[in-house]
Amino acid sequence: MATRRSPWFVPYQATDTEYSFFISYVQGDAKDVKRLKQELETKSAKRHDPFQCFLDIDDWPLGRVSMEVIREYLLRSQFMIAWITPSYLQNTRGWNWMELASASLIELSMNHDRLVTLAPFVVPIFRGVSVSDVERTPWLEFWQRKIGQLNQRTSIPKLAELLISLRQEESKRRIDLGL
Amino acid sequence: MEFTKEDVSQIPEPHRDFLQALWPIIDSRRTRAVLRISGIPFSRLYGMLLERHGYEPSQARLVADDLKKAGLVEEDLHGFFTPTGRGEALLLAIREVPVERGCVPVFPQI
Repeated sequence: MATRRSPWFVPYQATDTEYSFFISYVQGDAKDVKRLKQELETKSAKRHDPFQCFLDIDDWPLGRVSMEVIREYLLRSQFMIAWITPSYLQNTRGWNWMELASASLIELSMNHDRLVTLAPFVVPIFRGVSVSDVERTPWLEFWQRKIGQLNQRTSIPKLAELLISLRQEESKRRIDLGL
Repeated sequence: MEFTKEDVSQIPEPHRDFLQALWPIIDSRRTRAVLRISGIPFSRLYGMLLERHGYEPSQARLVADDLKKAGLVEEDLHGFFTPTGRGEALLLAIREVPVERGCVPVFPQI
């Protein structure tokens, strides 16, 4: 069988990460993602398993080339959460799409010797958008990857709890997969 | 609905790979995973067949159509594939996963 391995390989150490979640969003949703970060960090600390989230408004290192920062901090994170809203989809500045492109390469690399994605890196959170909104965007591929028990109006504290469970579950899975 | 080892051995490798690529859908449901996968887009399945078998899109589409005709997979309007009940049974047989009884009681020997 002729196996053609993708040349797009990014070395990534899933166990060697400083941040649990890299949060990708657009400026119009800053208030919501700031709250999400606070909830994640507070709840994880209360559970005696504290972790940090990368959010540009708090953690961006000044004076660096933006694309370098995105790539570096994605590699330093366990997952990328994407906060996908109507504002996200209408955004024309483009950084959110660069984040998705880089995160997709990490996910591809983590799963390069598998038939399909068994270890997800990209965690989409769709808020106020329908399948027709994402139909002609790269997010269509992720439409059927969703957090169970989550609907588009789930409160941010509840969402934080689900993400903490997801992190625990997927971390175990990564160990099982030898990542 | 049960498939024998002989049935499984007759499935061509590309078709088997296609079916196996749908495993995350079953796995995320069986394990009650937080992150649920409810369909795999054709683009990913095509990518897998390209990497493993060097297939063109039209050849990948043939594989998908064969499996659809056999009642093993379904495709929605957006090109997402899911296994049917029959497809899931075959996939479990391919992976040699025993079918769980769940809430189905054991029928007594009478």
